[in-house]
Amino acid sequence: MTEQTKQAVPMKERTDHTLLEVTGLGKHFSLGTGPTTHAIGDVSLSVADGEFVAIVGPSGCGKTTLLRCLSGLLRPDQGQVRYAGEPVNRVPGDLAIVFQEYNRSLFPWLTVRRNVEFGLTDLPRAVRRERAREALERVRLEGFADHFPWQLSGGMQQRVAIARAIALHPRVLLMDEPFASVDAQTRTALEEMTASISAALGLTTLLITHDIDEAIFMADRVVVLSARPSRVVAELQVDISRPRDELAVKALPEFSELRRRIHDLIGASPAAEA
Amino acid sequence: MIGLSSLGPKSADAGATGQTRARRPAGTGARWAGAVARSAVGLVSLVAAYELLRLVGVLPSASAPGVPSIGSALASGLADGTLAGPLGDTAQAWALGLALATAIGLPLGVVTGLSRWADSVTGVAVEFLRPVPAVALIPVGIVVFGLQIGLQVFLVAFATVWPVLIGCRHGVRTVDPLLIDSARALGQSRARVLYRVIVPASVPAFATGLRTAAGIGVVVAVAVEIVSGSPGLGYHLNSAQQSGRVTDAFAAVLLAGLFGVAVDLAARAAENRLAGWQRHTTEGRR
Amino acid sequence: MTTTEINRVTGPGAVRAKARGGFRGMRRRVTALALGWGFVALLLGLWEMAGRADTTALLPPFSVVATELVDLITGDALMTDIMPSLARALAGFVIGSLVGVVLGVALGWWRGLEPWCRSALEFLRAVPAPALLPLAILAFGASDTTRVGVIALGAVWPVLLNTTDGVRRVEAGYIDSARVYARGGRAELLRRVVLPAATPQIMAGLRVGLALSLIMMVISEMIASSSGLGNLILRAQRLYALDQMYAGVLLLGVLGWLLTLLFSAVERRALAWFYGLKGQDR
Repeated sequence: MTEQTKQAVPMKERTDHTLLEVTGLGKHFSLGTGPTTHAIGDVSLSVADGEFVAIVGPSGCGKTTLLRCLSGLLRPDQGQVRYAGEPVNRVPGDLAIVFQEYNRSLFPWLTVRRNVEFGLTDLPRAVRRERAREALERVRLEGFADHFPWQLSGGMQQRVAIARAIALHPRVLLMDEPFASVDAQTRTALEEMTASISAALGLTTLLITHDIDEAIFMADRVVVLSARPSRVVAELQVDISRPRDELAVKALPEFSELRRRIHDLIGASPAAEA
Repeated sequence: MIGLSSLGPKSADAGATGQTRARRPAGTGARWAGAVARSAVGLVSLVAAYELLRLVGVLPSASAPGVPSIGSALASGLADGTLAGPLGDTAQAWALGLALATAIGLPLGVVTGLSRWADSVTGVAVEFLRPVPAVALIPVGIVVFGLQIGLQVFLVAFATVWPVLIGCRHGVRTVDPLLIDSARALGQSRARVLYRVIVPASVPAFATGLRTAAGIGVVVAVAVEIVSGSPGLGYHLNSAQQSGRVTDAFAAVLLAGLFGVAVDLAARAAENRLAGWQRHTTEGRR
Repeated sequence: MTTTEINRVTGPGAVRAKARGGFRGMRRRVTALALGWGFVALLLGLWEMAGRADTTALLPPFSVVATELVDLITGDALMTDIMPSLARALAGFVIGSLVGVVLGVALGWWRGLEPWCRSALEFLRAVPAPALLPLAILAFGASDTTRVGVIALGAVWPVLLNTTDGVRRVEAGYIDSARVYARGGRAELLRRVVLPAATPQIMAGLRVGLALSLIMMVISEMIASSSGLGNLILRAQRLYALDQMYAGVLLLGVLGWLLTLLFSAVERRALAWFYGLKGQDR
């Protein structure tokens, strides 16, 4: 049992209320008069309030593009994204993103604390400090508030990114392959930390990953995308009870079954490009 | 070392980014023509702005001639040699000075890049000499060389040796150790590693340093001519100014600018040829 | 994993060491400095000997020049020549830098401007700044304003172009983060993210601008002034007061060196984060 789960933090009640709704999303890129890349073909999915959804797919299938469209960073060419019933035109105020490359998204000229406080300028100073302190505590980096991000290891920097996200007190957390640039041992610790934070704060979380194990371990539901132009191939429910301990869960037969099925689904979809 | 960090890959003379490698997919002819058209509009606007300033009086119309008259003065000056001659003098001084700077700066740069010992010995001296403005040495140069081309060559060389030296040094210093290790692992001797790995890998930094040097060289050559009266565009400009031949003065400046543009384009082209490959590697970030 | 395990893998032990320092680093640096200064002393010694041996009086020994230098600093020249020179150079540098940064930010920010302005800017940049001096004298006469103006004109280009470059090349990831976490408009984006991120490149431009300011100061004093260090040096050469000439040149070198040193110190403070960041990237 991880320490985090022993904390007496009330879990937000999960409702069946759909928070994020994607219908018929399509996105393509073209360079002038060159060939067009159809990143996303036709993707539809919905995410309920408080749900943890993982999106997996083969390399290059447009997962990052999908996340950017969902968050409002990118305008899709077809289809629509609705957040809390409203169409998404810009990044919603209570949506936070953890990007894959921490060294290109955390600001190197700010200390860890300032980075975490970055999104909180509307709040009075005392509140800002308190939120930052609380967030850093959750990711176990309280002692490093006055360091600079580049003084920390990769895993720690990603934790700072997570702290920055949760300091916002967001409703939705989007994560774009957050642990891809981090070594394997650290990754496990970060996965467990993220899962427990998400549960404790009642966040609706969307995780993009190419790591099938990670997807199954962390999510309530796994959405499988095809290769480019991507569409939803399957959605699998992960009926493993929480809290989940890494080693125990991975030994479960359900886990292997899911892993095998997802693996087959990803492998079976025809690769449009190499 | 103080200040050397600013002349690394993020070269202080960054300016506009270099031309992209010419691998033209079909259909970009129209786009290219569009770019040229827009640049032309930019230049025309510049000319228009100048004329406007003359009109409004910010630029006194007596001493700021209209563009057409400058243009014709330039054309006739080139045709009858009164401008072409000085241009040749300046170009010659520039080229010789740059060659001298390369002859000194390249080996010195390589040596100080390879040997920490050599770097330490020369370090303080370089830091002292580098910030000395070459133009401050004009009087010294006059004493030593008189008013001949040697003066300009010496001063251009003095000003331009630093970017070349530092560029080479930086290039040698920042060769990916992995490349060296691979070569050694393949059984290459130290000497072969030097000229088969280190030198080619440092060519891009040298090319960038040379480009910086080329630009500085033009500025110094003209400056020396203006101050000392040695032959060249600067001298021509100065005498025109002193005898009040305003249009000739402007034509000379225009020609100097065109020369500077030509030098810059040539230097960029050379840099692209020498260093183009670097753009395609992960180390190509400037 | 327990807390302690997490911290072992990702905790204080994993924090990367700061600047490579310690005793060995210090000793290495001191040796390097000693070698460097030793070489300089050697060169000065050669100068001294060559000066003493010289019969043509074209090369005074270093000691004579040094004495003359001290006289320059402690005498009238300080007020009549040295200070005005410095004042002009710095004034021109500051004006040119301000204009360069403001225009550079504008050009970098509104990317649409670039294809239109590119050729015009490249041409203007290529015009050698010294060549503008006679033109300025023709148009506006030889006054302090003209001189400072031409110095500024020399300094503006590297600052402008580097600022544009720096603003344009801000890491896309920073912009993305700002779009998610900074809820203000573009002004906030500029102030909180773009400018800090572009500062290293801007500093590089300022450094070149400073060097150019000094060059332009010297030239403007040599051909269009009756005071200032540049003028002093040229005057001394014409009067064959070679001691004073060399002393003036040496003084200029020292001033240039001091200003560069000062600039580096300021740069180090402003860019401490950048050096740290680059150190880690090695």
